[in-house]
Amino acid sequence: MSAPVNHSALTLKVLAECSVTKARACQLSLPHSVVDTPVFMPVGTQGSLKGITPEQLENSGCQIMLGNTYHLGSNPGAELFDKVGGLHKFMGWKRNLLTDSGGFQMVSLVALSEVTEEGVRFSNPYDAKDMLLTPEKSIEIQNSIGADIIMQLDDVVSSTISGPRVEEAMGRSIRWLDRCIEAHKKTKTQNLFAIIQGGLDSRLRTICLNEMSKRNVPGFAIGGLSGGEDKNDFWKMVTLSTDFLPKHKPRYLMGVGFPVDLVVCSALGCDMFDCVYPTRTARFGTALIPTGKLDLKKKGCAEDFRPIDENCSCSTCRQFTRAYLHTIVTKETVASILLTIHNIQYQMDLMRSIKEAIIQDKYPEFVNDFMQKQFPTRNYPEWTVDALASVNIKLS
Amino acid sequence: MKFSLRSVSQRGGRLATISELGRHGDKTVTTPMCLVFTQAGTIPHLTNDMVQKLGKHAYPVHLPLPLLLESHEILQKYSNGIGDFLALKHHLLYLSVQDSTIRPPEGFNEKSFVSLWGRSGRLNVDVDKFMSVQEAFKPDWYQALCDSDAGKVGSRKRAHKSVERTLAYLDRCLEKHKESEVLRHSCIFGSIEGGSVAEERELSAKETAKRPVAGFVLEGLDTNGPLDSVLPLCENGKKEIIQSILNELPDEKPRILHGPLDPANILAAVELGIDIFDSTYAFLVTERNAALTFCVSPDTESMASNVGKLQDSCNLQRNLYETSLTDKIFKDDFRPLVVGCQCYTCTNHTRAYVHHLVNVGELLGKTLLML
Repeated sequence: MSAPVNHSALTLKVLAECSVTKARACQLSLPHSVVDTPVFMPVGTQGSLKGITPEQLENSGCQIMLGNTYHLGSNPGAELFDKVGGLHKFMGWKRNLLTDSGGFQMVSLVALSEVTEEGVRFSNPYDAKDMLLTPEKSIEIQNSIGADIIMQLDDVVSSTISGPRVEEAMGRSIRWLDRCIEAHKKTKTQNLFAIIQGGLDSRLRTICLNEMSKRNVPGFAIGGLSGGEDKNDFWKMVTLSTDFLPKHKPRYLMGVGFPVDLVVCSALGCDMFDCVYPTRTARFGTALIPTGKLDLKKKGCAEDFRPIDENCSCSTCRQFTRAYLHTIVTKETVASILLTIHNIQYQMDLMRSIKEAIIQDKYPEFVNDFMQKQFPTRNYPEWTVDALASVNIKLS
Repeated sequence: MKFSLRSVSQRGGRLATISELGRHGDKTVTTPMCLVFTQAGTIPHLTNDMVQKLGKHAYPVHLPLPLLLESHEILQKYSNGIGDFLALKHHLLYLSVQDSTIRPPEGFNEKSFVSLWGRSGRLNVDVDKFMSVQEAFKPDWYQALCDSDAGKVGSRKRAHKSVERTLAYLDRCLEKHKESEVLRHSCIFGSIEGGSVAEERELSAKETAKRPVAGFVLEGLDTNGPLDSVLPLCENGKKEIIQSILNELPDEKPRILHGPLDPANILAAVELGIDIFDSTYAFLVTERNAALTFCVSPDTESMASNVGKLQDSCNLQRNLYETSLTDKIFKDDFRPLVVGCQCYTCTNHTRAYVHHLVNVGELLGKTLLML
């Protein structure tokens, strides 16, 4: 069987596959740079990563970050991106960018929205302007922003609802995928990913997987999850998707970013992740550490002269003590930047060690080690035990 | 510390080199000099790697005491000093008594203590506590405890008190300083008080000059923030008061004047004979989302002249020195903040990007402006 002709601006090279689980380590070549997977993508919603310069982000080893189409489409707007030549140039980021479609924000952030076959219509409560985001419009804005990976506009429903709306949304997402493919003008420089929907219903998911994988897109995202649903249902949908999706294309699990989730879902075969959690929690004074979280606001940190993590190589840990950070956390803007730098580094280091463990074919040991650090009393959440067992890892 | 005058201009401005900076070995600084203002030990919006981009301008750091006071006990336990704690130990560290971006309320200083406003409110600091703080912090230079509250304008009685008390504090600080092993390499600065009463000012200057201090801080001249309340030095008789102070001070010791002074005020102060300033002006301009855009050297085009050519009637410039980046006119202006400026922000980013960042409230906007 000959490989399909590749028009896309992406190549995926599988470097290693775990002999026990479904995990794989890959090299994803995108227009701006190579990305090592599994990869965590931090979110720089409005064209900046909350106080971090592009240079600082590059230094952490980050190879790809997110921008949000809804926000950027409003400010500074697609026209400005056309003038300047895209978000890369605008913000001075030389590596890769991924933009979402704007659909999720429109539905989650805006009070009055209505989804029809045409698109998502909403009225902005602040200026009473009516706006319609169609698949074509979303792609147009994303073409202007110029990200290396762009997402189809999908009909997003909350993962906590059930009933006919879920099937309607799944069906519509397929039709909108086709409209997005049709509208996409820059196939040589931008990769359009499909987003698998279907809620928590395996029948619907399977239909969606079947249909969407017939389309010749460079990559697939698993959407409609990470919205507060029961984790026991969540992992089943993830693994169902990775069972089905083609091996030679990347799998992007949207909205997933807690360290435990990253480790487990890598075992289930996902390659790419994004989440606001590490950067958001940094601004509230919480640092991520191998054993979980460290709340720097707590009194216990006031006289603790150790760094956040003795083994972390980030500039925050190399220079500062928990005691110092305690004096400024949530009070000075620099605290927010320092913790963000650390949390990003933590995520980058975590993904790197996941990748290395897969390459050395030692992923089950890595997972066990990681889980024991996070849950020293072995009180593992049920879903992690089940999910890992499904890929032959028994947590000790 | 050694202050060596290199030249004095006809109009009064002085160029000098300060050497023998204690633990800093052979390093020297030249004056006129600007201290880098900090808030609770951080340069606002700038992590240390960003601060390093300022090069040698970042060397002298200004640490106002009020927001650091709550860390006193921690620093005692830490024992390596504030420079180490803040990861600024390679910088020249100067600890001032008050925060010059604000005016502390009047009437809260008593005979035996001065009020400092920390995060959780008012703290009373007497000489014992003050010197205990200095021993825990171990700064390179520090301003001796002083009472800068001279009461209502023209009030002789309160002005006299501020002079008397400040001298008393200074003498006790000097005593403890002499006995202190830990402060062996630190330098103590005396403060000139006396409000707007000429005789009190002269008295304060004469008496302080008799003490073995490394330099002088001119206090109580209404140069504290907020920005728009700083009056020109050339008005209201301030110039005369400063002159009368400086007449009594020795030439071979540096003079510090705190506060957000705009370029005209800085130039006026330099001509009078002031050597050291702080960067609170740059900070407060940043806080209102503006960039400093006045012409510094022949190589950089003044942004004012650029913009002026575009739109005369446009009220973009609050004044001669700064330009607000919130204005929509910058939305698609892809030039640097100041054409020809070599700073990190101007060599890497555009007016359009900074405008976008301040427009949507992103912290990076403030970071780039601060730099």
